[in-house]
Amino acid sequence: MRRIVVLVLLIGVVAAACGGSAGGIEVTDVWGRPSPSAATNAAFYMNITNGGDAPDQLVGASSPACSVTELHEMYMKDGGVMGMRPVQGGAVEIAPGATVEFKPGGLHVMCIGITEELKPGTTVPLTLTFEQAGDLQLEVEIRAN
Amino acid sequence: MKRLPIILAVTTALLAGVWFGARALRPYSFHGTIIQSPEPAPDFTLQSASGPVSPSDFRGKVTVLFFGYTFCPDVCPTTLADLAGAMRILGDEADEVQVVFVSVDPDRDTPERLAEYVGSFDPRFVGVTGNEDEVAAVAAVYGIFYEKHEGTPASGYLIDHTASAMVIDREGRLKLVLPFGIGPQDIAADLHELLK
Amino acid sequence: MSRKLLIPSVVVLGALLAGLAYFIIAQPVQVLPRIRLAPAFSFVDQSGTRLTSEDLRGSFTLYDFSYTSCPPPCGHLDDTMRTVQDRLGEVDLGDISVRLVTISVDPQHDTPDRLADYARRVGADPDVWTFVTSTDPKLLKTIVGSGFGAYYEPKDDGTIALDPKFVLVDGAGTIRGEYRYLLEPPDPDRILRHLGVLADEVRNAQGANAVAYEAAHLFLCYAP
Ligand SMILES: [Cu+2]
Repeated sequence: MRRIVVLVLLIGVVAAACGGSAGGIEVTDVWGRPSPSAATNAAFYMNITNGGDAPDQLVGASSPACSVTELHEMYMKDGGVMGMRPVQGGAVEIAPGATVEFKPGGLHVMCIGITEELKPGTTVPLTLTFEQAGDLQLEVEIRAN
Repeated sequence: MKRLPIILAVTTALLAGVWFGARALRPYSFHGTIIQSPEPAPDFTLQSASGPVSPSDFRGKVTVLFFGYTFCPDVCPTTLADLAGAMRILGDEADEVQVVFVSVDPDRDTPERLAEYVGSFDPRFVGVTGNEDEVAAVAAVYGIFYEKHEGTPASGYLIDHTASAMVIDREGRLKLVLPFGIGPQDIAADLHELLK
Repeated sequence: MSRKLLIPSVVVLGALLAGLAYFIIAQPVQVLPRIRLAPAFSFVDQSGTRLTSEDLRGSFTLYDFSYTSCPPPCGHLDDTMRTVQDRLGEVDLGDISVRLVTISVDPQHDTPDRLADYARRVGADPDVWTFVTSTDPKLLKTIVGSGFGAYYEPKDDGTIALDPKFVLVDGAGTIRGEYRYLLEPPDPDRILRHLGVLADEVRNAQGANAVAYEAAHLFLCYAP
Protein backbone atom coordinates (compact mmCIF):
# COMPACT_ATOMS: atom_id res chain seq x y z
CA MET A 1 0.00 0.00 0.00
CA ARG A 2 2.74 2.38 1.00
CA ARG A 3 4.52 1.63 -2.24
CA ILE A 4 1.46 2.61 -4.23
CA VAL A 5 1.20 5.87 -2.31
CA VAL A 6 4.85 6.64 -3.06
CA LEU A 7 4.30 5.76 -6.72
CA VAL A 8 1.24 8.01 -6.95
CA LEU A 9 3.19 10.81 -5.27
CA LEU A 10 6.08 10.32 -7.69
CA ILE A 11 3.78 10.46 -10.69
CA GLY A 12 2.21 13.56 -9.22
CA VAL A 13 5.58 15.28 -8.88
CA VAL A 14 6.53 14.41 -12.45
CA ALA A 15 3.17 15.59 -13.77
CA ALA A 16 3.37 18.83 -11.81
CA ALA A 17 6.69 19.62 -13.43
CA CYS A 18 4.97 19.09 -16.78
CA GLY A 19 7.87 17.12 -18.01
CA GLY A 20 9.34 13.68 -17.82
CA SER A 21 12.36 11.62 -18.63
CA ALA A 22 13.19 8.10 -19.63
CA GLY A 23 16.29 6.43 -21.07
CA GLY A 24 18.28 9.66 -21.27
CA ILE A 25 15.43 11.52 -22.97
CA GLU A 26 14.12 14.48 -21.03
CA VAL A 27 11.09 16.49 -22.05
CA THR A 28 10.42 19.91 -20.56
CA ASP A 29 8.19 22.90 -21.06
CA VAL A 30 5.28 20.99 -22.59
CA TRP A 31 2.57 23.48 -23.53
CA GLY A 32 -0.28 24.35 -25.83
CA ARG A 33 -2.65 27.23 -26.43
CA PRO A 34 -6.24 27.32 -25.23
CA SER A 35 -8.42 26.09 -28.10
CA PRO A 36 -10.27 28.96 -29.77
CA SER A 37 -14.01 28.35 -30.11
CA ALA A 38 -14.84 26.47 -33.30
CA ALA A 39 -11.26 25.25 -33.61
CA THR A 40 -10.86 21.62 -34.60
CA ASN A 41 -7.11 21.33 -34.26
CA ALA A 42 -4.39 22.27 -31.82
CA ALA A 43 -0.61 22.14 -31.59
CA PHE A 44 1.57 21.10 -28.64
CA TYR A 45 5.08 22.38 -28.06
CA MET A 46 8.01 21.20 -25.87
CA ASN A 47 11.75 20.84 -25.56
CA ILE A 48 13.23 17.37 -25.95
CA THR A 49 16.77 16.77 -24.70
CA ASN A 50 18.75 13.62 -25.28
CA GLY A 51 21.03 13.31 -22.23
CA GLY A 52 22.18 9.83 -23.22
CA ASP A 53 25.00 8.95 -25.57
CA ALA A 54 23.02 7.15 -28.23
CA PRO A 55 20.78 8.80 -30.81
CA ASP A 56 17.05 8.40 -30.35
CA GLN A 57 13.99 9.24 -32.41
CA LEU A 58 10.58 10.58 -31.56
CA VAL A 59 8.36 8.32 -33.62
CA GLY A 60 4.85 9.10 -32.44
CA ALA A 61 2.52 10.79 -30.02
CA SER A 62 -0.97 10.26 -28.69
CA SER A 63 -3.40 12.05 -26.44
CA PRO A 64 -6.96 11.40 -25.32
CA ALA A 65 -7.61 15.05 -26.18
CA CYS A 66 -7.00 14.40 -29.90
CA SER A 67 -8.73 12.08 -32.36
CA VAL A 68 -5.47 11.76 -34.30
CA THR A 69 -1.98 12.95 -33.43
CA GLU A 70 0.78 13.61 -35.97
CA LEU A 71 4.29 15.04 -35.85
CA HIS A 72 4.41 18.16 -38.00
CA GLU A 73 6.87 20.75 -39.11
CA MET A 74 6.23 24.23 -40.45
CA TYR A 75 8.20 25.35 -43.45
CA MET A 76 8.68 28.87 -44.64
CA LYS A 77 9.41 29.78 -48.21
CA ASP A 78 11.37 32.85 -49.21
CA GLY A 79 8.59 35.37 -49.22
CA GLY A 80 6.85 34.58 -45.95
CA VAL A 81 4.54 31.83 -47.24
CA MET A 82 4.22 29.24 -44.50
CA GLY A 83 2.78 25.79 -44.53
CA MET A 84 2.93 22.60 -42.51
CA ARG A 85 3.53 18.98 -43.32
CA PRO A 86 4.13 15.73 -41.46
CA VAL A 87 7.83 15.42 -40.58
CA GLN A 88 9.91 13.56 -43.16
CA GLY A 89 10.23 9.88 -42.44
CA GLY A 90 7.57 10.22 -39.73
CA ALA A 91 10.20 10.66 -37.00
CA VAL A 92 12.23 13.42 -35.37
CA GLU A 93 15.88 12.60 -34.73
CA ILE A 94 17.18 13.55 -31.26
CA ALA A 95 20.98 13.41 -31.37
CA PRO A 96 22.91 12.65 -28.15
CA GLY A 97 23.45 15.83 -26.17
CA ALA A 98 21.08 17.79 -28.38
CA THR A 99 17.87 19.61 -27.49
CA VAL A 100 15.14 19.74 -30.11
CA GLU A 101 12.70 22.59 -29.67
CA PHE A 102 9.08 22.21 -30.72
CA LYS A 103 7.81 25.79 -31.01
CA PRO A 104 5.44 28.00 -33.03
CA GLY A 105 6.65 28.33 -36.59
CA GLY A 106 8.78 25.19 -36.23
CA LEU A 107 7.97 21.66 -35.09
CA HIS A 108 4.73 20.76 -33.32
CA VAL A 109 2.74 17.79 -32.20
CA MET A 110 -0.38 18.24 -34.30
CA CYS A 111 -3.57 17.42 -32.46
CA ILE A 112 -6.22 16.77 -35.12
CA GLY A 113 -9.85 16.73 -34.02
CA ILE A 114 -9.71 17.95 -30.45
CA THR A 115 -12.12 15.94 -28.31
CA GLU A 116 -12.44 18.47 -25.52
CA GLU A 117 -12.01 22.21 -25.10
CA LEU A 118 -8.45 23.06 -24.03
CA LYS A 119 -8.95 25.51 -21.18
CA PRO A 120 -6.23 27.82 -19.88
CA GLY A 121 -4.76 26.64 -16.59
CA THR A 122 -5.61 22.98 -17.17
CA THR A 123 -3.46 20.14 -18.44
CA VAL A 124 -4.07 17.34 -20.91
CA PRO A 125 -2.19 14.03 -21.01
CA LEU A 126 0.22 13.36 -23.86
CA THR A 127 2.25 10.25 -24.59
CA LEU A 128 5.40 10.60 -26.66
CA THR A 129 6.84 7.42 -28.14
CA PHE A 130 10.58 7.17 -28.66
CA GLU A 131 12.27 4.43 -30.60
CA GLN A 132 14.78 3.70 -27.82
CA ALA A 133 13.38 5.30 -24.69
CA GLY A 134 9.87 3.96 -25.28
CA ASP A 135 6.73 5.72 -24.08
CA LEU A 136 6.88 8.87 -22.00
CA GLN A 137 3.74 10.09 -20.20
CA LEU A 138 3.52 13.87 -20.03
CA GLU A 139 1.02 16.57 -19.18
CA VAL A 140 0.51 19.46 -21.58
CA GLU A 141 0.06 22.74 -19.78
CA ILE A 142 -2.56 24.89 -21.48
CA ARG A 143 -1.26 28.43 -21.18
CA ALA A 144 -3.42 31.51 -21.43
CA ASN A 145 -2.63 33.59 -24.51
CA MET B 1 41.28 76.81 -11.92
CA LYS B 2 38.41 77.20 -9.48
CA ARG B 3 36.11 77.29 -12.44
CA LEU B 4 37.13 73.87 -13.75
CA PRO B 5 34.32 71.93 -12.01
CA ILE B 6 31.76 74.35 -13.38
CA ILE B 7 33.13 74.06 -16.89
CA LEU B 8 33.06 70.28 -16.61
CA ALA B 9 29.49 70.29 -15.33
CA VAL B 10 28.27 72.62 -18.07
CA THR B 11 30.07 70.64 -20.77
CA THR B 12 28.51 67.42 -19.51
CA ALA B 13 25.08 69.03 -19.47
CA LEU B 14 25.55 70.31 -23.02
CA LEU B 15 26.69 66.94 -24.31
CA ALA B 16 23.75 65.27 -22.59
CA GLY B 17 21.45 67.84 -24.18
CA VAL B 18 22.84 67.16 -27.64
CA TRP B 19 22.59 63.42 -27.10
CA PHE B 20 18.97 63.57 -25.97
CA GLY B 21 18.17 66.04 -28.73
CA ALA B 22 19.63 63.73 -31.37
CA ARG B 23 17.67 60.83 -29.90
CA ALA B 24 14.44 62.79 -30.05
CA LEU B 25 15.15 63.76 -33.66
CA ARG B 26 15.88 60.21 -34.67
CA PRO B 27 12.81 58.70 -36.29
CA TYR B 28 11.04 55.74 -34.69
CA SER B 29 12.22 52.58 -36.36
CA PHE B 30 9.42 50.15 -37.11
CA HIS B 31 9.68 46.41 -36.62
CA GLY B 32 7.63 45.82 -39.74
CA THR B 33 8.51 47.00 -43.25
CA ILE B 34 7.21 50.46 -44.09
CA ILE B 35 5.33 50.94 -47.34
CA GLN B 36 5.07 54.58 -48.41
CA SER B 37 2.02 54.14 -50.57
CA PRO B 38 0.74 57.38 -52.02
CA GLU B 39 -2.69 55.87 -52.69
CA PRO B 40 -5.32 54.12 -50.54
CA ALA B 41 -5.00 50.38 -49.90
CA PRO B 42 -7.24 48.29 -52.21
CA ASP B 43 -10.75 48.12 -50.81
CA PHE B 44 -12.95 45.01 -50.82
CA THR B 45 -16.12 43.67 -49.28
CA LEU B 46 -16.30 40.26 -47.63
CA GLN B 47 -18.85 38.72 -45.28
CA SER B 48 -18.66 38.55 -41.49
CA ALA B 49 -21.26 36.91 -39.26
CA SER B 50 -22.79 40.33 -38.65
CA GLY B 51 -22.84 41.54 -42.25
CA PRO B 52 -20.51 42.84 -44.96
CA VAL B 53 -17.15 44.29 -43.95
CA SER B 54 -14.78 46.54 -45.95
CA PRO B 55 -11.46 48.02 -44.83
CA SER B 56 -12.89 51.46 -45.72
CA ASP B 57 -15.48 50.99 -42.92
CA PHE B 58 -12.58 51.47 -40.52
CA ARG B 59 -11.21 54.77 -41.86
CA GLY B 60 -10.00 56.71 -38.84
CA LYS B 61 -8.79 53.53 -37.15
CA VAL B 62 -5.63 51.54 -37.76
CA THR B 63 -6.61 48.27 -39.44
CA VAL B 64 -4.62 45.03 -39.30
CA LEU B 65 -5.37 42.42 -41.98
CA PHE B 66 -4.27 38.86 -41.44
CA PHE B 67 -4.99 35.95 -43.79
CA GLY B 68 -5.32 32.38 -42.59
CA TYR B 69 -7.78 29.59 -41.81
CA THR B 70 -9.25 28.18 -38.61
CA PHE B 71 -8.02 24.66 -39.36
CA CYS B 72 -4.43 25.92 -38.95
CA PRO B 73 -3.11 25.11 -35.46
CA ASP B 74 0.21 26.95 -35.45
CA VAL B 75 0.77 30.15 -37.45
CA CYS B 76 -2.78 31.48 -37.24
CA PRO B 77 -3.41 31.08 -33.49
CA THR B 78 0.13 32.32 -32.79
CA THR B 79 -0.40 35.48 -34.81
CA LEU B 80 -3.92 36.08 -33.50
CA ALA B 81 -2.70 35.56 -29.92
CA ASP B 82 0.17 38.00 -30.56
CA LEU B 83 -2.29 40.55 -31.97
CA ALA B 84 -4.59 40.04 -28.97
CA GLY B 85 -1.56 40.51 -26.70
CA ALA B 86 -0.72 43.75 -28.52
CA MET B 87 -4.32 44.93 -28.00
CA ARG B 88 -3.94 44.31 -24.24
CA ILE B 89 -0.66 46.22 -24.14
CA LEU B 90 -2.24 49.15 -26.00
CA GLY B 91 -5.01 49.42 -23.40
CA ASP B 92 -7.52 52.15 -24.26
CA GLU B 93 -5.68 52.88 -27.50
CA ALA B 94 -6.69 49.42 -28.74
CA ASP B 95 -10.21 50.71 -29.40
CA GLU B 96 -8.66 52.59 -32.32
CA VAL B 97 -7.30 49.36 -33.81
CA GLN B 98 -9.38 46.94 -35.87
CA VAL B 99 -8.06 43.44 -36.52
CA VAL B 100 -9.63 41.69 -39.54
CA PHE B 101 -8.95 37.99 -40.09
CA VAL B 102 -9.57 36.92 -43.69
CA SER B 103 -10.14 33.20 -44.18
CA VAL B 104 -8.61 31.72 -47.32
CA ASP B 105 -10.60 28.52 -46.67
CA PRO B 106 -14.20 29.50 -47.50
CA ASP B 107 -15.19 25.84 -47.91
CA ARG B 108 -14.63 25.07 -44.24
CA ASP B 109 -14.80 28.51 -42.60
CA THR B 110 -18.28 30.02 -42.52
CA PRO B 111 -18.66 33.61 -41.25
CA GLU B 112 -20.30 32.23 -38.06
CA ARG B 113 -17.44 29.86 -37.39
CA LEU B 114 -14.96 32.67 -37.99
CA ALA B 115 -16.77 34.98 -35.57
CA GLU B 116 -16.53 32.36 -32.83
CA TYR B 117 -12.91 31.63 -33.64
CA VAL B 118 -11.51 35.16 -33.71
CA GLY B 119 -13.78 36.25 -30.85
CA SER B 120 -12.03 33.89 -28.48
CA PHE B 121 -8.78 35.79 -29.02
CA ASP B 122 -10.32 39.25 -28.65
CA PRO B 123 -14.03 40.05 -28.85
CA ARG B 124 -13.21 43.10 -31.01
CA PHE B 125 -11.63 41.02 -33.80
CA VAL B 126 -13.65 40.50 -36.97
CA GLY B 127 -13.48 37.39 -39.18
CA VAL B 128 -14.49 37.57 -42.85
CA THR B 129 -14.61 35.40 -45.92
CA GLY B 130 -16.41 35.16 -49.28
CA ASN B 131 -16.74 32.80 -52.18
CA GLU B 132 -13.61 31.31 -53.71
CA ASP B 133 -13.26 33.98 -56.42
CA GLU B 134 -13.78 36.86 -54.01
CA VAL B 135 -11.18 35.57 -51.57
CA ALA B 136 -8.71 34.90 -54.40
CA ALA B 137 -9.08 38.49 -55.64
CA VAL B 138 -8.60 40.04 -52.18
CA ALA B 139 -5.56 37.90 -51.39
CA ALA B 140 -4.01 38.62 -54.81
CA VAL B 141 -4.09 42.40 -54.48
CA TYR B 142 -2.63 42.24 -50.97
CA GLY B 143 0.21 40.07 -52.23
CA ILE B 144 -1.00 37.10 -50.19
CA PHE B 145 -0.09 33.84 -51.87
CA TYR B 146 -1.96 30.70 -50.83
CA GLU B 147 -2.50 27.23 -52.19
CA LYS B 148 -4.09 24.02 -51.02
CA HIS B 149 -2.08 20.88 -50.70
CA GLU B 150 -3.05 17.41 -49.59
CA GLY B 151 -2.37 16.56 -45.96
CA THR B 152 -2.85 13.13 -44.41
CA PRO B 153 -6.24 11.38 -44.38
CA ALA B 154 -6.75 12.68 -40.84
CA SER B 155 -5.87 16.29 -41.51
CA GLY B 156 -7.51 16.64 -44.93
CA TYR B 157 -6.23 19.39 -47.19
CA LEU B 158 -3.96 22.07 -45.73
CA ILE B 159 -3.34 25.56 -47.04
CA ASP B 160 0.06 27.21 -47.33
CA HIS B 161 -0.31 30.95 -47.06
CA THR B 162 1.69 34.14 -46.62
CA ALA B 163 1.95 34.64 -42.87
CA SER B 164 2.65 38.36 -42.71
CA ALA B 165 0.03 40.85 -41.51
CA MET B 166 -0.81 44.10 -43.32
CA VAL B 167 -1.38 47.33 -41.40
CA ILE B 168 -3.52 50.12 -42.89
CA ASP B 169 -3.23 53.57 -41.32
CA ARG B 170 -6.06 55.92 -40.28
CA GLU B 171 -6.13 57.49 -43.75
CA GLY B 172 -6.64 54.10 -45.39
CA ARG B 173 -3.13 53.69 -46.79
CA LEU B 174 -1.20 50.46 -46.51
CA LYS B 175 1.56 51.42 -44.13
CA LEU B 176 3.30 48.40 -42.71
CA VAL B 177 3.92 44.71 -43.32
CA LEU B 178 4.46 42.75 -40.11
CA PRO B 179 6.44 39.53 -40.55
CA PHE B 180 5.38 36.34 -38.75
CA GLY B 181 6.52 35.89 -35.16
CA ILE B 182 7.59 39.38 -34.10
CA GLY B 183 5.61 39.17 -30.85
CA PRO B 184 3.03 41.33 -29.05
CA GLN B 185 5.49 43.95 -27.68
CA ASP B 186 6.85 44.92 -31.08
CA ILE B 187 3.43 44.83 -32.72
CA ALA B 188 2.04 47.10 -29.98
CA ALA B 189 4.97 49.53 -30.38
CA ASP B 190 4.43 49.77 -34.15
CA LEU B 191 0.66 50.23 -33.79
CA HIS B 192 1.17 52.83 -31.06
CA GLU B 193 3.44 54.79 -33.39
CA LEU B 194 0.82 54.70 -36.16
CA LEU B 195 -1.90 55.85 -33.74
CA LYS B 196 -0.01 59.01 -32.83
CA MET C 1 28.01 81.08 -19.98
CA SER C 2 31.63 81.62 -20.83
CA ARG C 3 32.71 82.13 -24.42
CA LYS C 4 34.98 79.14 -24.10
CA LEU C 5 31.89 76.92 -23.87
CA LEU C 6 29.71 78.80 -26.26
CA ILE C 7 32.04 78.18 -29.18
CA PRO C 8 32.31 74.39 -28.86
CA SER C 9 28.57 73.99 -28.32
CA VAL C 10 27.78 76.10 -31.36
CA VAL C 11 30.25 74.00 -33.34
CA VAL C 12 28.65 70.74 -32.21
CA LEU C 13 25.11 71.92 -32.94
CA GLY C 14 26.18 73.44 -36.22
CA ALA C 15 27.81 70.17 -37.26
CA LEU C 16 24.63 68.25 -36.43
CA LEU C 17 22.46 70.60 -38.44
CA ALA C 18 24.92 70.66 -41.31
CA GLY C 19 24.90 66.86 -41.32
CA LEU C 20 21.11 66.78 -41.48
CA ALA C 21 21.03 69.44 -44.21
CA TYR C 22 23.67 67.53 -46.19
CA PHE C 23 21.58 64.39 -45.92
CA ILE C 24 18.44 66.11 -47.14
CA ILE C 25 19.98 68.29 -49.85
CA ALA C 26 22.89 66.28 -51.18
CA GLN C 27 21.14 62.92 -50.65
CA PRO C 28 24.25 60.79 -50.18
CA VAL C 29 21.95 57.75 -50.07
CA GLN C 30 19.30 57.34 -52.73
CA VAL C 31 16.54 54.78 -52.73
CA LEU C 32 13.49 53.76 -54.68
CA PRO C 33 10.15 54.28 -52.93
CA ARG C 34 8.22 51.33 -51.52
CA ILE C 35 5.11 52.10 -53.50
CA ARG C 36 2.74 49.16 -52.97
CA LEU C 37 2.74 45.44 -52.46
CA ALA C 38 2.99 43.54 -55.69
CA PRO C 39 0.05 41.18 -56.21
CA ALA C 40 0.33 37.43 -55.62
CA PHE C 41 -0.32 35.22 -58.66
CA SER C 42 -0.04 31.79 -60.17
CA PHE C 43 0.38 31.97 -63.96
CA VAL C 44 1.35 29.59 -66.76
CA ASP C 45 4.47 30.36 -68.79
CA GLN C 46 5.38 29.75 -72.45
CA SER C 47 6.54 26.21 -71.72
CA GLY C 48 3.31 25.36 -69.88
CA THR C 49 4.98 25.45 -66.44
CA ARG C 50 3.54 27.28 -63.50
CA LEU C 51 5.13 30.58 -62.49
CA THR C 52 4.03 32.07 -59.16
CA SER C 53 4.83 35.33 -57.44
CA GLU C 54 6.64 33.20 -54.84
CA ASP C 55 9.03 31.78 -57.46
CA LEU C 56 10.24 35.34 -58.05
CA ARG C 57 10.97 36.15 -54.40
CA GLY C 58 14.57 37.17 -53.94
CA SER C 59 14.90 38.36 -57.55
CA PHE C 60 14.21 41.78 -58.99
CA THR C 61 11.42 41.45 -61.52
CA LEU C 62 10.45 43.85 -64.29
CA TYR C 63 6.90 43.35 -65.57
CA ASP C 64 5.10 44.62 -68.62
CA PHE C 65 1.63 43.89 -69.97
CA SER C 66 0.99 43.04 -73.58
CA TYR C 67 -0.41 40.36 -75.94
CA THR C 68 1.00 38.58 -78.95
CA SER C 69 -1.31 40.07 -81.58
CA CYS C 70 -0.81 43.58 -80.33
CA PRO C 71 -0.36 46.22 -83.06
CA PRO C 72 2.78 48.43 -83.19
CA PRO C 73 2.73 50.47 -79.95
CA CYS C 74 3.48 47.20 -78.14
CA GLY C 75 6.68 46.92 -80.15
CA HIS C 76 8.03 49.70 -77.96
CA LEU C 77 7.37 47.60 -74.89
CA ASP C 78 9.15 44.55 -76.33
CA ASP C 79 12.08 46.67 -77.50
CA THR C 80 12.51 48.10 -74.03
CA MET C 81 12.32 44.72 -72.36
CA ARG C 82 14.90 43.34 -74.77
CA THR C 83 17.19 46.32 -74.25
CA VAL C 84 17.03 45.80 -70.49
CA GLN C 85 17.66 42.06 -70.98
CA ASP C 86 20.66 42.64 -73.24
CA ARG C 87 22.23 45.32 -71.06
CA LEU C 88 21.83 43.68 -67.63
CA GLY C 89 25.58 43.05 -67.65
CA GLU C 90 26.18 46.79 -67.30
CA VAL C 91 24.53 46.87 -63.87
CA ASP C 92 26.42 45.83 -60.75
CA LEU C 93 23.86 43.41 -59.34
CA GLY C 94 26.12 41.24 -57.17
CA ASP C 95 24.46 37.85 -56.88
CA ILE C 96 20.91 39.12 -57.31
CA SER C 97 19.11 37.77 -60.34
CA VAL C 98 16.84 39.89 -62.49
CA ARG C 99 13.79 38.42 -64.20
CA LEU C 100 11.65 39.97 -66.90
CA VAL C 101 8.02 38.91 -67.07
CA THR C 102 5.58 39.87 -69.80
CA ILE C 103 2.01 39.19 -68.74
CA SER C 104 -0.35 38.54 -71.64
CA VAL C 105 -3.71 40.22 -71.15
CA ASP C 106 -5.27 38.06 -73.89
CA PRO C 107 -5.67 34.68 -72.19
CA GLN C 108 -8.26 33.53 -74.77
CA HIS C 109 -5.77 33.55 -77.62
CA ASP C 110 -2.33 33.48 -76.02
CA THR C 111 -1.72 29.80 -75.38
CA PRO C 112 1.70 28.71 -74.11
CA ASP C 113 2.63 27.66 -77.68
CA ARG C 114 1.78 31.04 -79.05
CA LEU C 115 3.71 32.72 -76.26
CA ALA C 116 6.74 30.51 -76.95
CA ASP C 117 6.60 31.49 -80.61
CA TYR C 118 6.38 35.14 -79.72
CA ALA C 119 9.21 34.91 -77.20
CA ARG C 120 11.51 33.53 -79.93
CA ARG C 121 10.44 36.27 -82.32
CA VAL C 122 11.30 39.12 -79.95
CA GLY C 123 14.62 37.58 -78.96
CA ALA C 124 13.80 36.63 -75.39
CA ASP C 125 16.45 34.75 -73.42
CA PRO C 126 14.36 32.00 -71.76
CA ASP C 127 16.50 32.14 -68.59
CA VAL C 128 15.72 35.82 -68.09
CA TRP C 129 12.52 36.78 -69.89
CA THR C 130 9.33 34.80 -69.34
CA PHE C 131 5.93 35.18 -70.98
CA VAL C 132 2.92 34.21 -68.91
CA THR C 133 -0.83 34.18 -68.94
CA SER C 134 -3.65 33.02 -66.72
CA THR C 135 -6.37 30.41 -66.98
CA ASP C 136 -8.70 32.70 -65.02
CA PRO C 137 -9.41 35.88 -67.05
CA LYS C 138 -11.32 37.55 -64.22
CA LEU C 139 -8.56 37.06 -61.67
CA LEU C 140 -6.01 38.15 -64.30
CA LYS C 141 -7.86 41.45 -64.65
CA THR C 142 -7.76 41.95 -60.85
CA ILE C 143 -4.06 41.11 -60.65
CA VAL C 144 -2.99 43.31 -63.57
CA GLY C 145 -5.53 46.10 -63.01
CA SER C 146 -5.74 46.50 -59.24
CA GLY C 147 -2.49 44.75 -58.34
CA PHE C 148 -0.05 46.21 -60.87
CA GLY C 149 -2.20 49.26 -61.64
CA ALA C 150 -2.07 48.55 -65.39
CA TYR C 151 -5.51 48.77 -66.96
CA TYR C 152 -6.65 47.11 -70.17
CA GLU C 153 -9.93 46.85 -71.97
CA PRO C 154 -10.87 44.74 -75.04
CA LYS C 155 -12.07 46.97 -77.87
CA ASP C 156 -14.74 46.28 -80.49
CA ASP C 157 -12.18 45.73 -83.26
CA GLY C 158 -10.70 42.76 -81.41
CA THR C 159 -7.63 44.63 -80.16
CA ILE C 160 -7.06 45.46 -76.51
CA ALA C 161 -6.54 48.99 -75.23
CA LEU C 162 -3.62 48.86 -72.82
CA ASP C 163 -1.55 50.88 -70.49
CA PRO C 164 2.07 51.07 -71.76
CA LYS C 165 3.62 50.47 -68.40
CA PHE C 166 6.54 48.72 -66.71
CA VAL C 167 6.54 47.74 -63.05
CA LEU C 168 9.68 46.98 -61.05
CA VAL C 169 9.29 44.66 -58.03
CA ASP C 170 11.99 43.95 -55.46
CA GLY C 171 12.90 40.61 -53.89
CA ALA C 172 10.47 41.11 -51.02
CA GLY C 173 7.51 41.54 -53.35
CA THR C 174 7.19 45.32 -53.06
CA ILE C 175 6.60 47.54 -56.08
CA ARG C 176 9.58 49.93 -56.28
CA GLY C 177 9.17 51.52 -59.68
CA GLU C 178 6.35 52.29 -62.10
CA TYR C 179 7.20 53.58 -65.59
CA ARG C 180 4.37 54.74 -67.78
CA TYR C 181 5.13 55.93 -71.29
CA LEU C 182 2.06 57.37 -72.92
CA LEU C 183 3.65 59.96 -75.20
CA GLU C 184 7.43 59.74 -74.99
CA PRO C 185 9.31 56.55 -75.83
CA PRO C 186 10.28 54.27 -72.91
CA ASP C 187 13.57 54.92 -71.17
CA PRO C 188 15.50 51.67 -70.55
CA ASP C 189 18.47 53.65 -69.14
CA ARG C 190 16.37 54.78 -66.22
CA ILE C 191 15.12 51.25 -65.52
CA LEU C 192 18.67 49.88 -65.62
CA ARG C 193 19.86 52.65 -63.31
CA HIS C 194 17.05 51.84 -60.88
CA LEU C 195 18.03 48.16 -60.84
CA GLY C 196 21.46 49.33 -59.70
CA VAL C 197 19.95 51.51 -56.95
CA LEU C 198 17.91 48.55 -55.68
CA ALA C 199 20.96 46.29 -55.70
CA ASP C 200 22.94 48.92 -53.77
CA GLU C 201 20.27 49.02 -51.09
CA VAL C 202 20.23 45.23 -50.70
CA ARG C 203 24.03 45.21 -50.46
CA ASN C 204 24.52 48.20 -48.19
CA ALA C 205 21.47 48.54 -45.95
CA GLN C 206 22.94 46.58 -43.06
CA GLY C 207 23.91 47.54 -39.53
CA ALA C 208 24.42 51.28 -39.06
CA ASN C 209 23.86 51.84 -42.77
CA ALA C 210 20.33 50.46 -42.42
CA VAL C 211 19.48 53.60 -40.41
CA ALA C 212 20.81 55.81 -43.20
CA TYR C 213 18.71 53.89 -45.72
CA GLU C 214 15.57 54.16 -43.58
CA ALA C 215 16.28 57.90 -43.25
CA ALA C 216 16.59 58.12 -47.04
CA HIS C 217 13.12 56.53 -47.30
CA LEU C 218 11.77 58.89 -44.65
CA PHE C 219 13.18 62.01 -46.32
CA LEU C 220 12.06 60.76 -49.75
CA CYS C 221 15.58 60.73 -51.17
CA TYR C 222 14.34 59.03 -54.33
CA ALA C 223 16.61 58.27 -57.23
CA PRO C 224 15.59 60.26 -60.33
CU1 LIG D 1 0.24 20.76 -37.99
